[in-house]
Amino acid sequence: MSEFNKETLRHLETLCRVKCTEEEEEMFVENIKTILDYIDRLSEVDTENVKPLYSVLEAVHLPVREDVAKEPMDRQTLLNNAPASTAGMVRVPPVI
Amino acid sequence: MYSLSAKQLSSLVKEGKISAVEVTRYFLKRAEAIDPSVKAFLTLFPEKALAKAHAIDEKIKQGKSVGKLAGVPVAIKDNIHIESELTTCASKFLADYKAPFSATAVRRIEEEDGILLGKTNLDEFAMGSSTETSAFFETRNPWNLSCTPGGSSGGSAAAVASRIAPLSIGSDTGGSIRQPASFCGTFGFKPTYGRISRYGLVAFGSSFDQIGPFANYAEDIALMMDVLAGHCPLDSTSIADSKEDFSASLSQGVENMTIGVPRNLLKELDPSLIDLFNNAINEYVKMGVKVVEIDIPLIKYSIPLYYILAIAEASTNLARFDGILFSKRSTKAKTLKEVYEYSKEEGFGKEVKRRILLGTYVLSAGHQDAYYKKAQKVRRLLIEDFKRIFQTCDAVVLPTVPSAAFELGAIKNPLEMYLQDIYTIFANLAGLPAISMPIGLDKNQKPFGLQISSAQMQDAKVLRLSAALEQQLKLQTCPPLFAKEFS
Repeated sequence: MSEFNKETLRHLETLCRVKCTEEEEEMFVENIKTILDYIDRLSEVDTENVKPLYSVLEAVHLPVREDVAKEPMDRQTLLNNAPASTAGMVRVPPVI
Repeated sequence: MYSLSAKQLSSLVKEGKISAVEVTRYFLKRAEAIDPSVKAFLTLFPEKALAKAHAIDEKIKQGKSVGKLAGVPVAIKDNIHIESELTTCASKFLADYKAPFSATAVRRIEEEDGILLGKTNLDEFAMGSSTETSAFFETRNPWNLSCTPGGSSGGSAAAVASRIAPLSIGSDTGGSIRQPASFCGTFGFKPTYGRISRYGLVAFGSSFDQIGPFANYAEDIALMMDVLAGHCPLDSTSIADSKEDFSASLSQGVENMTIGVPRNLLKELDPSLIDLFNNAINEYVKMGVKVVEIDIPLIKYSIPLYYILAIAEASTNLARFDGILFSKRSTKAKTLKEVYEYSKEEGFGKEVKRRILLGTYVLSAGHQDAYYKKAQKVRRLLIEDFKRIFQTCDAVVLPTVPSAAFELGAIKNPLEMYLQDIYTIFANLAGLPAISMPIGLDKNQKPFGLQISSAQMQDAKVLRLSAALEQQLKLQTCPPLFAKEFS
């Protein structure tokens, strides 16, 4: 499963919108190939009839809080961290 | 004063033998003298810390009751929120991000009158084992300044080891509290998954992440657990009955406990480290603990499991850093697509990018079943293995890391760096409590740690076993460079 090449990496870059420099691409292809070779050993384990595990607390009761409306956090405090905002909203470049 | 435990310090403060202001000034002075060489802190809060100390002294003067951490400085890893302070995650992406609220863990420390001393350095977004991936600077090991303190909570470990702070908190996704604790010769505890609220911790691998304390004494770890553990309605993975009197349980003794040692995992360990490990095991035997040899066949898949599951979760969690809401947006971006791409290109370091890409790969169409689903199944089998082991053993004991601290810059290959976590990841995979405690120095005078883990919710048992061994070993755990007053 290690046919990992620059094309695969570029496809991933598009999927997660992480752009890499030329130099990073060279390095990541090599790194990820090695890591994939290493993690491929998982296929040795027989997992026939085993259910996937989603939470390590699946047998533990986790209480859920009451579904009651609360005062939201102050809008301006949140907007202060946005790189650009206007009229109480986050500003982004035109989408259409 | 640097050799006092947090428990002793808070008692002295409560009894009025020393003021919280004096304690705070003392540790701020140590920070001033030591931190330029160790570089554990990204920010310090001298004014706020002294103001809080004044307030505590005032309460004491008026005869009001004060909290369990009265006047004790605590350092906070910089991926945990303190309201209106920066939370950078040691990333350029969040260099200007101010937390809009405080983490539950931080709030509990403040409620018990602990003093927030500053924010500590880490690997970027807690991804790394050396603090070298921090976008700002590397932290240094207080025992040997040319070595790494470990990571990702390297700053929190180094701050406690060099006695700039008696206590700190970090986060542990695959060993990020325990590995630096081992490298720095301190205690570092990752509690049962769900025992300390993660509200206000910047998420990395949500099915793995856990906040936990660092301290120089087992009693201080118990004290911090008394403060931090407890149900939190703001964290949907918070266990209902998380609170317990950990401090009181320390004295219950360890006689007749059984510890399991997976000897076949130790084959490649350096002989001097094996000696330290065996010495610790012998001390347990002397205390009446039964030692049995165990086999955990699936543990060899820990690293593949982690680097599929945790990285898949990380790539999902970090998708929120897209240039829209949080701090960073590239100034050269003209279109929305460019906002995403350039902001991430400029904001993330290499290790973070590598993990997002790998996580995206294992979750992408055509690979999800072979990697992600497969790993979730093996994770279940590993957990079942541990359930079987804990039917007959009270604890599993291993070295924390296969080596002592390495030189900064010595490990360049990412896979080799990932192997640092070979003994620690299983506890995150299975949600188990696990501590690293110092058991001596190797031939190069570098600390080496022992890891004790137990079944879910058996945190008190882990603490009891570590306190018993600490008493037996009676080690001097302060790095010689900083074992002096700086006043």
